Amino acid sequence: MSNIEKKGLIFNFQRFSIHDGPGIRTVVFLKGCPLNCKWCSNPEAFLNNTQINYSSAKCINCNTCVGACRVDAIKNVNNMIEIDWDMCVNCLECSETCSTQAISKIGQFYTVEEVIEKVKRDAHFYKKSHGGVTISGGEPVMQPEFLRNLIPEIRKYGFNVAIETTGYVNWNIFYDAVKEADLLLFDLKSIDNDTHLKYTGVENRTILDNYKKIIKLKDVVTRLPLIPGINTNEKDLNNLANFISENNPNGVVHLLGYHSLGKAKYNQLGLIYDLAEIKSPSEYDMKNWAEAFKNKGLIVELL
Amino acid sequence: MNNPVRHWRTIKLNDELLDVKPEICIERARLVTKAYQENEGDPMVLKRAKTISKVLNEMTIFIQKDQLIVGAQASSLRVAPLFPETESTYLEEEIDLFEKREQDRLIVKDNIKKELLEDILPYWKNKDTKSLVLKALPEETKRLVTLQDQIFSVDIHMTGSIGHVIVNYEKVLGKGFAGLKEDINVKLSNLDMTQPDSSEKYELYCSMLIISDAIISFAHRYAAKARELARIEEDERWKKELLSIAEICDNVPEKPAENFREAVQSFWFSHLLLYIEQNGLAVSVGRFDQFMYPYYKKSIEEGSIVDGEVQELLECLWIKFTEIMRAYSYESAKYYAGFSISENLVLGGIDATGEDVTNELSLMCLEAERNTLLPQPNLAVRVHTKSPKHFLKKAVDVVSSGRSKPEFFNDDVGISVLMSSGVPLEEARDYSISGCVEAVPPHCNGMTNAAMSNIAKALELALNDGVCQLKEIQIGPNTGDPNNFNNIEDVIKAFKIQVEAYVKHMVIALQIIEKIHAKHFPLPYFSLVLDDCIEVGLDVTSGGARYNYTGPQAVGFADVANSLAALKKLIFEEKSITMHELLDAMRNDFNGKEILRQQLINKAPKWGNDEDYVDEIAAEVAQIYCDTVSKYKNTRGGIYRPGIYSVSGNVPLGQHVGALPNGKLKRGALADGIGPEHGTDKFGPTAIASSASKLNHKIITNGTILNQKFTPTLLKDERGKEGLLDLILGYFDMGGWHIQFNVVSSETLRAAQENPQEHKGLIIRVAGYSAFFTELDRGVQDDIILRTEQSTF
Repeated sequence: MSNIEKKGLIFNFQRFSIHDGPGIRTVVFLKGCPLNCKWCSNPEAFLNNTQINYSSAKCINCNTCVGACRVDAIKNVNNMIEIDWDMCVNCLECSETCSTQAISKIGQFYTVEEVIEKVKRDAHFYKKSHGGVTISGGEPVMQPEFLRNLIPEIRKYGFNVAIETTGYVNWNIFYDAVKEADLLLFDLKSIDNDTHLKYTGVENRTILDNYKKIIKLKDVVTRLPLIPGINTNEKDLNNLANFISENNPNGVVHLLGYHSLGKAKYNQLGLIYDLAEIKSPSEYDMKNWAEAFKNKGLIVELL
Repeated sequence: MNNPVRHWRTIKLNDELLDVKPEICIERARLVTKAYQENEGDPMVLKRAKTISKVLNEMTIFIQKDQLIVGAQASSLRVAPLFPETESTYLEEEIDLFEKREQDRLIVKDNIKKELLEDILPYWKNKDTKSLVLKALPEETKRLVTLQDQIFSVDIHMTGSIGHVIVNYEKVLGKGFAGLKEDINVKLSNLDMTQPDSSEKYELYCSMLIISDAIISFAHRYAAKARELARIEEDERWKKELLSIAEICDNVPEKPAENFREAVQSFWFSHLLLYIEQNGLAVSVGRFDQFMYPYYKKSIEEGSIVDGEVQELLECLWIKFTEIMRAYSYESAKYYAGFSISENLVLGGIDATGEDVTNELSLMCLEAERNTLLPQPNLAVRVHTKSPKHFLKKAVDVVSSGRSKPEFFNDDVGISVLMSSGVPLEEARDYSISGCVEAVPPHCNGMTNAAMSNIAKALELALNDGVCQLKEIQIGPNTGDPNNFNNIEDVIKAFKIQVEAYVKHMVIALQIIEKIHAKHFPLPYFSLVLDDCIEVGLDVTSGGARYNYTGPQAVGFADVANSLAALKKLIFEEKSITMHELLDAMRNDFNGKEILRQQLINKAPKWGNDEDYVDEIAAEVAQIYCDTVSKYKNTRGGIYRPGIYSVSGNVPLGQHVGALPNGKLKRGALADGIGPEHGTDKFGPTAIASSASKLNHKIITNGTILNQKFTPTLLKDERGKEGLLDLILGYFDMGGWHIQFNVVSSETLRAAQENPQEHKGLIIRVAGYSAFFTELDRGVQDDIILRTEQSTF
């Protein structure tokens, strides 16, 4: 176990990210999240263990996985691979035998050094653009020790480090893990506690408390996912704008309009996307919503 | 900024050009044939001069209403003239194909077809370049040149002229043709006719005088035409503009240009004539913002023009560039898809002392690019450490607006490349781009797109003891049974032998082509306006230029690198597949072996992901090709320069290749330029750029092309544009030479495939140049759609 603890579970390195902090960045996605937001576009981040993903578009129906599965969770029914997700024990053997990567492994353990090796690759581009590394998730603070070790190591290279967080972690653990970062991208999902509980699975109190505290200690950009019809009513937006401007006067706010690009992933993970059909907000809507925050003197960027 | 108000004139001329259905114009063919018949006994260079002179004196001229610049290559707007002296073989063979072919369709009216077949082409039988070259080639070389499944294609210069040139416009504008005539007369009067080589010089100088007179009277014909139209014109504005055109054409290009308007018109006549003399493509413009700047400055200072009028004139010129049309052979049209002319115009860069030279015109040229919606000119921006940020930002802004131009070049690499072949620093700093991505110094006869060659086919041969998998015939040397190869070095050794063998025959073919051009198709006009030819009294085709290059390209780069990486990893290291099994599967085009093919695709590292394992192999592949080509000298006293880019040749060349160890299927398209194979790059543009920067761009002296495709949504905000600029700067910091972008969504491209009528103005960067998407064939269109689209971040 101790060996594993030194490593971080990561499901993606995304290079040339230009919307997650200043400049050109590599986003390191850590696996595992205490929230379960229904609109989440990274459902592969929910669990804090490795798992499989099945994409039927890549499948050539060779049945190698059927033979590889220890627990008979994979069957070929009418020339279609079917996975009984409840039976799957995440042994990953099917993903190792799959030649097309139709079944692929999600998540891999990395040491701090291995992460550095990866993120160093775009050093030229960070330098040109004053960019760096953003550690996101899931919730990166779910792996606090790894995060605490990783941040100063990245900063040694002169790369800017940003942490994207839900803020839903015990304060002491939270602050201890992120204190050396240059910047926090702090997500606020909803100011209304009932809405928050209904759509993310948790109450927002810890999050709002942590927000109030961290704002006094670190540079913070507040990020708001805007899901039409869920957290975009006028009252909630105004309350949220009030809350932010009271705690973080003249702060920077990123508005992220809902998109359904993550929807296809749910099926591939054996999950159900149970958010009703929602359209991405129009540019008009976004600009309109932005007014609530601009009116309070906040600096708004639409992403 | 993003929604500029386009000038009514630009909109009108732009639309009128787009509405033309390309046709073939027979006038040039008719006049050239008559001129050859009338001057049968003359020395070739004089015959050529008299021929061009006859064309200029007798071709139909027209002035398009509201176009401020006059001078066209054929009898009406955007029609293709013919060059029977170099094209007659395929004109005869393909006359019925022009209207039906998938690529670059041209209408040929019945009466034109009849006249061509009955009166014109019979005269040229066995006299055009292709016939002469094929007669002159040694047997084995001829066999390789004429193979159906080719390993290299020299078609472009076998059926066309040299092209790929940039002449000295500064001198032409400054002296006028009257001034050039004086220079020639001085040379003539000093010519010692007792010397053994004096008669050739005498003929060349006389030819230059004939052509100078012809271009002067050509301009005067336009002056007369403008006055004739003005007399009956009722629209007062246009009447006045016609009279101004007449006055300008009275003066230039005969006399030195006195102001910006005259300089633009003088430039256009002298540029256009290169396209009337020869059917070479990529007759490029060079550093337009530099040689035009003194005229701009003078005219602004004396108040004879204001910036708005300069902009209007530049946009008129931009539209003229796209008027140039060619009737390529079908084979050439596949390689250079979309009536590609690739007239490269360069902006920015440094001067001889290393200082930045960006000026007001550089920015106005970018604005002209934004306001016209056409494939020409091929616009290049030179980037160096002191490039002004506002200039680069504007360039990126123009790209982001969905224009696909300009393309970007790294001064450091361009200058080093030229200096390594002996060009002095000052001249190297004055480099321009010829055609797509080829750095050339001034005073240069580039022939920079000499051939397209297929290194993927060479790998196929290396894995089959020299036998073509498609036709079961021996093409390359015996390099041994691959079942006996013990390691990847053995494969690479066989590959190298195959490359050396085909390059040798490609060079033999090119040397003969150059000789045929020198003997049968001298270019006295080109020699007149390119430096040094007058001085040394030698035609450009015989080596009269100061710098002479021959640049053949390698195609299939990523396919070879990925194939070698798959062999190394899966066969020699992991031994999860046997060589026997793989060869068997490839021979059967992976039929029934999909699992094996998927292993090759998914279980081996791929070029374009910043993985050293395969990137090091790729660098070695580049080295092998470059070393092999670089050792040859051309017939004009110059060097061979290797390039790694494909234009659209990756599609037709792929059709000549069997299945490969990267999982490529028989006759499938190859990867383009130095880009990754479709769908194999997983980490976005910085990873691609990092891989690409691991090649030594300084040995790839004829250039590389790195294409990247972005969706417009990514680049709609400042972050996107800043990111794009930093990507360019980062790539250049790491030693990359060239990068270009298509900013268009695949949905738009698919919609354009389905409804070409509604998308006739959609421009796409095929490679080092742009074209109308709907004029490309389906294969090239599909290829572009598949190039990984960067959109998710």
